[in-house]
Amino acid sequence: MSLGIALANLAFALFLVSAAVQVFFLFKNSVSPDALGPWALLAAAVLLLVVLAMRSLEVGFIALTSMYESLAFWAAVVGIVAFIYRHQERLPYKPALVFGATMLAVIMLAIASSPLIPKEALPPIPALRSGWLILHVSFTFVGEAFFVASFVSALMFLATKDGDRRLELDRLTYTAIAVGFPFFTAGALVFGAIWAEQAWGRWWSWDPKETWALVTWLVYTGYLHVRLVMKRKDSWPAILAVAGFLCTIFTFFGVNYLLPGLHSYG
Amino acid sequence: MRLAIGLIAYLAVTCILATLVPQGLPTEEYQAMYPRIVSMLVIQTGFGSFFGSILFIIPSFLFFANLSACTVKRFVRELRKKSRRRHGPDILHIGLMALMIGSIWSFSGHQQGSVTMAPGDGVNLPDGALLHLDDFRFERYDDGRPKDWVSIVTISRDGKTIKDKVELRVNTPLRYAGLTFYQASYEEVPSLALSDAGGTELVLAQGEERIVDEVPYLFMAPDADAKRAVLRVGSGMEGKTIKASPGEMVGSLKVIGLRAQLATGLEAVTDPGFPLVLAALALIAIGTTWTFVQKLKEGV
Repeated sequence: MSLGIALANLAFALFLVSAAVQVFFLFKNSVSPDALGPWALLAAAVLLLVVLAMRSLEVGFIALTSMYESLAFWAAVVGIVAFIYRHQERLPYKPALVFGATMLAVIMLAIASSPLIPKEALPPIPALRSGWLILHVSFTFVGEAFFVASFVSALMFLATKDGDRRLELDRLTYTAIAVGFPFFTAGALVFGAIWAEQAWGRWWSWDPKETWALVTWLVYTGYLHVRLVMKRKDSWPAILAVAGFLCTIFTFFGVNYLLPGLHSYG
Repeated sequence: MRLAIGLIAYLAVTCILATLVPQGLPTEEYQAMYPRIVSMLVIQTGFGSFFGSILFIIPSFLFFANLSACTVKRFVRELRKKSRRRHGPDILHIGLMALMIGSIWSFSGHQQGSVTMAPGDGVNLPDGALLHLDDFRFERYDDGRPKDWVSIVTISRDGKTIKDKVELRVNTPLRYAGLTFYQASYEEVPSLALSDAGGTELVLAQGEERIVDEVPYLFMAPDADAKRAVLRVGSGMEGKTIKASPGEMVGSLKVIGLRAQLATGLEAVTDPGFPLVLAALALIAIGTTWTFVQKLKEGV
């Protein structure tokens, strides 16, 4: 086993430790918030970024070109976002939101650890050797990490009938999307289109991945208009936030494995 | 606003369906692929070419009209405010409108053509310049996977070199006179190595003709078993088609042997709408960021 894979496994273990500690505090109903869990989360996220930096040095290019590397990066950013949610003071702290985001990062790493996902660090094929890849992928995943938070808070919103709690969760969902949406717009659509023009001579090809990224963008656009312009705070915005995240997941996994297209390597 | 939400929902759902129905297939393939009713529906509604059909174009036009009306109304409302103006959404909406206009311009004005060239070949460009392929390299990693395809090209016009030995790679196109050249593909073409009396080697790609001592030599193809070369030596009535093996003389040249030569596939693209699209994308990025930075700062 290479050092990189060993460190990635250690990061996975730290995510699990963090989840276990968070579960303990959730059931204990402690007044004082869990101090250890989020720090374990941050350590795991930093470790994953170190693993990706080591792989980048090994292959001589930014290690964000395979499914394994993408999942590791996404999980790392989700870990950092969850840590920020624990320590920020502008929004109400919801331990279940941090726990939910941690569990989604655990699922991402479990998929990355699957034998079906190749793990060797390989230098990129010519189509991926571009500086735009760094902007396209990193901005998209930062946006999608905030969509993870919005998905968890939207689910929590739908699961409760308590009016005050709903108001808090609605605000959490909205702020997560308000931060994630500009990152996603810039990464997936703007940088993606500029890179496509430079690589393929067409900035938009209606390739399934592009189309699904647009669908995801449209769903979140719908959310923002329903929430901000129509000022609805009932279940509809939360349902759209959940739908947006399901589209995000399908754009990432489903399109790669079910719909052939120009992004078949990504 | 309800119309806007309805159109967004319609576009999202139909775009999803369009990724599930293979696009651009002949009618017979849809008939073979789906039950009769479904295939009829796909063919009659134009869903097989969804993004060029009225099912997509009319709602997109309505969306554009709705967006324009909203943008004007919103912009005027913000201008009337004395403080706390929010122009982020206006910039975003104007960016989206510019993107839709740019898309129509781009898709209608987009032209492309491709050419396969072996090193030494040249191709005339629309402005009278000549694009010459100086060399082509196929670089591989140690494990044999492709690392890069590099076409080294020179563009000259009226004897003047305009672009000298530019390395054209995947992701590094060459822009010249409104055209963008892309490294699109490569292939192996048979070639014939010959040598003259002085021992100087001359390599002809399949289909290439060179004149040596006023005699044209055209390498037509390898023969059926790929051991001998089929050449045409001379021109007109005096020209002869010859099958030659390595070591034999053809005219004043000696056949060295057949080789496989790498040829590059270059694609030339012109897209007059792309600068507007690029400006629109910048407006969208700025507008989105401005909108939410302002809103989050205000705690909305």
